[in-house]
Amino acid sequence: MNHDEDFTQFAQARAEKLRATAFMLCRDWHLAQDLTQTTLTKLYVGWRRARQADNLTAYAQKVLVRVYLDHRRRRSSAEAVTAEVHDAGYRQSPDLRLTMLDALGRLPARDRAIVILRYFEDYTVEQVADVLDVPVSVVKTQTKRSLERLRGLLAAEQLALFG
Amino acid sequence: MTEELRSLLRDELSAERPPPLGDLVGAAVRDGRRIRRRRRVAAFGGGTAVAGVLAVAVALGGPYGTTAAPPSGGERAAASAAPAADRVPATPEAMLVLLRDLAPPGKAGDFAKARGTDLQVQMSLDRGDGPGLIRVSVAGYPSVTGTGKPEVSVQEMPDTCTQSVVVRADWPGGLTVQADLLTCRPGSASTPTPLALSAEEATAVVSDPRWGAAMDPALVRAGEQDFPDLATFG
Repeated sequence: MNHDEDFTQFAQARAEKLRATAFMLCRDWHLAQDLTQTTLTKLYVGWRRARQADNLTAYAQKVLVRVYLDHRRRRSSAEAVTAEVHDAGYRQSPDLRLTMLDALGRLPARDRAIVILRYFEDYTVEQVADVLDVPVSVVKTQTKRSLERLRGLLAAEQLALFG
Repeated sequence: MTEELRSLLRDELSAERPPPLGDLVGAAVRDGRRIRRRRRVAAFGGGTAVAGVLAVAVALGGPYGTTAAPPSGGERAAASAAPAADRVPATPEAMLVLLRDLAPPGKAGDFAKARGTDLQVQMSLDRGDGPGLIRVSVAGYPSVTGTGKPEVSVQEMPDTCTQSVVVRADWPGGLTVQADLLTCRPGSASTPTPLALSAEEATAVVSDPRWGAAMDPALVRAGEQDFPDLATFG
């Protein structure tokens, strides 16, 4: 199998999953599409090196997360809050309830990536540290803080789920 | 707990209606080929093109236009940062000494450290409008010190008074220094308090190269002396 065929086979099998992860990170399907395409392009260009990875899928996820974080950094050094939701409002009315994705959107980009990788992708703390190139201690402390923040943001009935 | 969180995330994803994937893979292959062609051209006779790219990169001021810390904080203090080999494990008390030194003039108080083993401290600063709380945390390998320039992010979260402004410096090698600026007293969210630092001032604080999981022995000694019986929070 030549380079292009090998890459195409892998990419076609993984594109949907990569895009789902991208969406969880950015909450925008169009941006998720762009991030996935950029990730696949990077993989194509460095396919020989990528092929040497112990776990090619994890390698692709790593590239994706870095593409996402680069995108966030380029866009702005300060994240804008995407929607204002007032505590009293969403706690009292189910219609105004903040979803988990909304709540995740209020975390800083890297913290959001940590939560997604830990709890959506089922990565270990060590794997997350490797993907983000940070010490394990950073992953642990930021996970703890992010969960505290999510608890503070989510409505009572959701809180009960991971209290 | 984690299973429920996973399940919530998956449920919300499954409720989404994603657009068709389209020819994502084909587009990536086409773009990838274009990039490879450009690289080949640059490598085999496009010396001027490479110079042009470098010139643009220099003009942009850094990779991907990320935010670098202002030189005033990091570079000024670099001269007084202890070499990595001379550092000793950081203590919350030493962090408070450094935080107090880096803060602008004002009346400092409410010194405390986080319960547990996290390197996180708290201090209030009253600059004339009443005390505002600052919490600084450090996470990283003891061997990693603030060398190079950190990438600094500033996030404003008006709906969270215990983290109204979060300023974080990520140093090369894996050292994170984060300052949370509060606009309330924890446990008393209805009573607003002033921000103790501006975003620029907080950036200068977190960009100081003396922060780390290991710190200058002189700061650790000063911490033992100045804060022999530190309160805890959290």
